[in-house]
Amino acid sequence: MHELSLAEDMLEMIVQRSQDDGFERVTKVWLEVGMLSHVEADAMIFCFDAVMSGTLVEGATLEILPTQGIGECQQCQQTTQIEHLYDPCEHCGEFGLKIVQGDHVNIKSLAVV
Amino acid sequence: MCTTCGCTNLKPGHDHNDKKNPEHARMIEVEQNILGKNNRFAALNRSTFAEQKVATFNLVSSPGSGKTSVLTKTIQSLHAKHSIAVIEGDQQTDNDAERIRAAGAEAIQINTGKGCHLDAHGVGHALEQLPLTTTDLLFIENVGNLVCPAAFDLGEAAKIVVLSVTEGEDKPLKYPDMFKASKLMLINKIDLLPYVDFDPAKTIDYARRINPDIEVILVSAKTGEGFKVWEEWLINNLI
Repeated sequence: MHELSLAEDMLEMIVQRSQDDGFERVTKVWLEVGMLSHVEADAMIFCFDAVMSGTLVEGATLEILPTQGIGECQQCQQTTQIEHLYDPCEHCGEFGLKIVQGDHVNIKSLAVV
Repeated sequence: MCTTCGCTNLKPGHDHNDKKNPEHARMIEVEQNILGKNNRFAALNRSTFAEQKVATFNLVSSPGSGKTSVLTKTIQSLHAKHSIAVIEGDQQTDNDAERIRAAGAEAIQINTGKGCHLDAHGVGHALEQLPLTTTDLLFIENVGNLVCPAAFDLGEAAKIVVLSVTEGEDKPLKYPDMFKASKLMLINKIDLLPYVDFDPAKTIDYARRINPDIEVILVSAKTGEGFKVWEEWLINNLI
C-alpha cells in the first residue's frame, strides 16, 4: 500500500508549505489523481486520515479530483480518452499509446486557516 | 457552491473576510507532484551513478519470480570481469543479501519493515556503504511486488521486470504499470515451459500493448539458457 508513504510525503510538503505561507491548520486538501496514476483514491483517503491524525492537517477533508487519462497514438497522432494503460487508439486500433494526461498525482490546492 | 473556496456551505455569514470570520479558510495554490520528494532523491542517486560510472538496474517482479537466482548466476559469470554490487530490498531478513555475498558480490540489505517498495531516499543511504568507485554494475533488487515499486524512481538507468512462466501469461495486463515502467522484460524459468500453460508470444504481445518499446529476453536461471543474451545486454548497457 504505497498510498501510505505518499500520504506521509504529502504531509511533509504541507508542513513545509505552512512554514513558507504562515498557516496553522489545513481544513481541506484538493488532490488531483490521474486515472492512470499509481494511486487508488479509496486507499489514499484511508491513509490520509491515518497519517494526518495529530498534525496540522488533522480533520481536514481530502477531495480527490480525478483527471481523465488521455493517450496519443504513435501511429495516427490522434488522442483517445483511456481508462487503462493497455487501451488501444479509438481511431486506428493501435496499442502503445503515449500517455499525455492522467498519470500524475498533484496536490492542487489547500484551504488553510 | 462558493466560487471563492469551492465549499458548499452557503449559509448566511459565509464570506471570505478573515476579520469577520477568523476561522474561515483561505486558499493556497500548491500544484506539487506528491512524488516530488522521492524524485528529488532519485535525481541525486542518478547523478551519483553518472559520476561514478555505475550502470544501475532496478529489478522488479512479484515474489518468487527468481530475481535473486538470476542475479547469483549473473554474478558467477560476469563478476570476474565487471565488478557487481547489489542492493537487496525485502520486508524482512537478509537471506537474499547472504545469497549474493555467497556468489561473490558486495550486497547491502534494506529491510523495508511494513513498506511495500524501496524508495530513493533509502537507496541513497545504502549507496554510502558501497564501493561505488570500483563498481561497474549495480542491481537494486526491489521488494517482490508488481504494484508499488512501479511508482518509485530510484535513480536507476532502467527498470527490469522479471516474470516467470509459472505466473500466468496475462500478468502484463493485470499489472500494466510495472510493464509500462520497464525497459526490459526477463521471462524466467523457461526450463519449465513444457509443464505449464504459458505462451511467451502472448505475454510479449500483452506487454507491448502497454509498452511497445519493451525489450524481451527469455532465460532460465536454473539451466543458464538465454544467459548469453542477457549478459550481452548488460555489457552493452555499461557506462
